Amino acid sequence: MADGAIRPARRAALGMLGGIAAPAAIVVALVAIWQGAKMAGLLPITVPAPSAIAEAFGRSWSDLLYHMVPTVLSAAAGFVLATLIALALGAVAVSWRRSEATILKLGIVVDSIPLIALTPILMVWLGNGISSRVVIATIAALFPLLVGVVQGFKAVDRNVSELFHILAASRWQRLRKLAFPSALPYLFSALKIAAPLSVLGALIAEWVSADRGLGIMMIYALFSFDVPLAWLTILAVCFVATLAYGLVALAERIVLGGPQDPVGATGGAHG
Amino acid sequence: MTEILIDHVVKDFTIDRRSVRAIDDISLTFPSGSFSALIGPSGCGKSTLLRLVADILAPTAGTIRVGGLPPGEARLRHEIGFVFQDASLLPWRTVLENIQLPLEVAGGPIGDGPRPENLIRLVGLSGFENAKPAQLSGGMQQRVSIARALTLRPKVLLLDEPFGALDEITRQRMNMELLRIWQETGTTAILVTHTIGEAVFMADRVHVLAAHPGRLVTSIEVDLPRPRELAMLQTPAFNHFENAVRAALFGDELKAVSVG
Repeated sequence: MADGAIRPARRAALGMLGGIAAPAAIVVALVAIWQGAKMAGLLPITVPAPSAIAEAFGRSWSDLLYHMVPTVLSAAAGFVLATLIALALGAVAVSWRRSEATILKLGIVVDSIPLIALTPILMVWLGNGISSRVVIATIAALFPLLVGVVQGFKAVDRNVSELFHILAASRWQRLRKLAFPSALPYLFSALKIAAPLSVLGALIAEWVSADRGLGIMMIYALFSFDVPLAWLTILAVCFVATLAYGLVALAERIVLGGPQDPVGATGGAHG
Repeated sequence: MTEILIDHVVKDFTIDRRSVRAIDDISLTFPSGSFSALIGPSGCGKSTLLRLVADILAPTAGTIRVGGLPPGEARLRHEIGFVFQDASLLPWRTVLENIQLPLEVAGGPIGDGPRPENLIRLVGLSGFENAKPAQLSGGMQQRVSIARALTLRPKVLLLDEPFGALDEITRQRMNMELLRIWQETGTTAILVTHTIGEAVFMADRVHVLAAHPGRLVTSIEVDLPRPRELAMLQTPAFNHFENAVRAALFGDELKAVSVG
């Protein structure tokens, strides 16, 4: 019996190792091919060797960290702000049915303005401090969140909704005890889309105007034709965006997936 | 006490801008503490009637009184318990938390309401307090739903085909238990069903409805002794009541078949 208990655990550990090992091996192989191709002179001057990027990292990792901090901060602030706004607007949209179409249409209008065009205007209005970068990161992340929240709030079972009516539940109770928990799976799907978008928003804002940030570091590197450094900043942005996604996915597993498996195991003991 | 009165009630729905009559002038009385069944084909408005009593819907015409009060007032006083066709539990809550939900919403027990732990015992789910609905069978989920409906000690228990999705054997067991719970709690119960045997077995009075528009055909008194037992299902008396309900449901159609 103990053997039976250990086996799935070991299999899970092996599976997780395999899940990391396989993509890692592919990445290593691709990097090796890339390096070989560069050394054979097959790649243009705009594509540096991986070793050159590594060398750029060794030379300017402290610069990279220095520029990464404000990008991460404005992206995170924008992400949180967008989530709060989407939750508030979503709550209004489902509590007053008539406002739903208006709110979603406004969301579509805001979303359809090209961010690259909106950013300079916002910079003029709000100045080129962190607040305008946060606003742009917020706008970049808002629409998928709004759609996810509204859909999630509406995914309430009809009978359960009738039950809350019979219980004479207040709007707030309905929202907190019914709509919000029902919406969580939808919300997390939207959060996973929105997290990298807020990083993109922060980056675009920094391109337009900033004295510190991965965006401006990227622009500097391009203007000074430091190709390995430009690539390094691109990799850094990828890293930040992937990390943002990963953190949301982790939170999702803790909130939604976490309790299910352990309870399932104890539930079996009852039967 | 808690008599339910339905007086010349009409209910129209608007579907594609056209008014459709779901219930056409139904008058019924459900005596306090009685168990009644509503039976009829789909479209006869039996679920609608239940939702009118629960103040989920409002009648187009006519009046409804629950213990002398309009349904809206009875609802606000938490006098109405409702069991849906599917258990309609909150999947993220445990059995105990689902049963506690009405207490949380109402802000505490109403009078000397039963404790959730006792309700769990009443519906035979001791040991499953911390299970999630997904871990329970359909029958067990419906037990949770019944316990939840009883949490605020309602005076009226409305059951909308509560065991319709269960297999015959489980359903019969659940019916026995439901009768026991009903007798222990002394509520006025209305059961919507489309199973003739279930209606006769459970109810003091079976109200037969016809469809398009929903209207009352007849009411049949079932004076079988209580407590009802499974052995009664095989008695001629039980058969007699079943046939009476069947005759009311099918009318002349039935005669034509029995000749052949």
